[in-house]
Amino acid sequence: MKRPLLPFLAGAATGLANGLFGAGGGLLAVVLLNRCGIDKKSSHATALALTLPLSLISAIILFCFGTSLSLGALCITILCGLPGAWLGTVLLKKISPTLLSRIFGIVMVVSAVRMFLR
Amino acid sequence: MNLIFLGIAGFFSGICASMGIGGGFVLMLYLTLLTETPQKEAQLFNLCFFLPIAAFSLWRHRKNGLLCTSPIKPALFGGIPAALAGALLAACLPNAQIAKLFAVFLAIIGVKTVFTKREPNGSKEECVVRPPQKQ
Repeated sequence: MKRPLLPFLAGAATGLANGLFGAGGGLLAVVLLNRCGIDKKSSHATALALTLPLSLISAIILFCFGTSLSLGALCITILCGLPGAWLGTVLLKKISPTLLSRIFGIVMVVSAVRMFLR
Repeated sequence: MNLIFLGIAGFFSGICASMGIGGGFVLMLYLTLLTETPQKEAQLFNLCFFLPIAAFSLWRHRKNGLLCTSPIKPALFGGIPAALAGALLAACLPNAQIAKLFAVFLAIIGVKTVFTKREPNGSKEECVVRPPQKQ
């Protein structure tokens, strides 16, 4: 890549969010990779390729520091998540992601307020 | 933890993750707000959940020719030390403090998500790298 600084910074922001919060790195990566000049449709796939190893690193660190993990519950969640992931790829062609993401954005803001005030 | 509701949360998280609208937040919000799982436990759970989901989605996207490999290497050069630093910081901070920081981050992402128009994914276009727009 001719201008590696922008992806470097995008990766840094994504890694920090991913490591510190365990979520949100993917959304950041999609936005920042698009700003780097990646076509919007490829930026999501590329963001996954970026966040996958970063998530693994973050998970290992948290686990090594003694954070507990329920393997049984995790397996059940993954088993339910995989068909959901498949369904998402089907729904994407039929439902406007703009509408869905706006609804979800509102849910996030409301949830953020609840979390902050807890 | 109610396994049925957890499975439902995982299912919707998978849908949102593959549609690129923040699957990680779905599970995190369920775990932290509805089951009152401690923040760091929820984070680790979410990260581990994401790994096979991302691998599966990535495999499908790669088949469809949507993966753009050129920015990954420089992004990882920045991302790996940042992820290490972020995770170490998370491991050292108390749950309540991370939860507050996460709430602020969530609000920012939520506001941005509401006001961003997204294009539908799914077509088999090649990765196109265009020059960054001058602002």
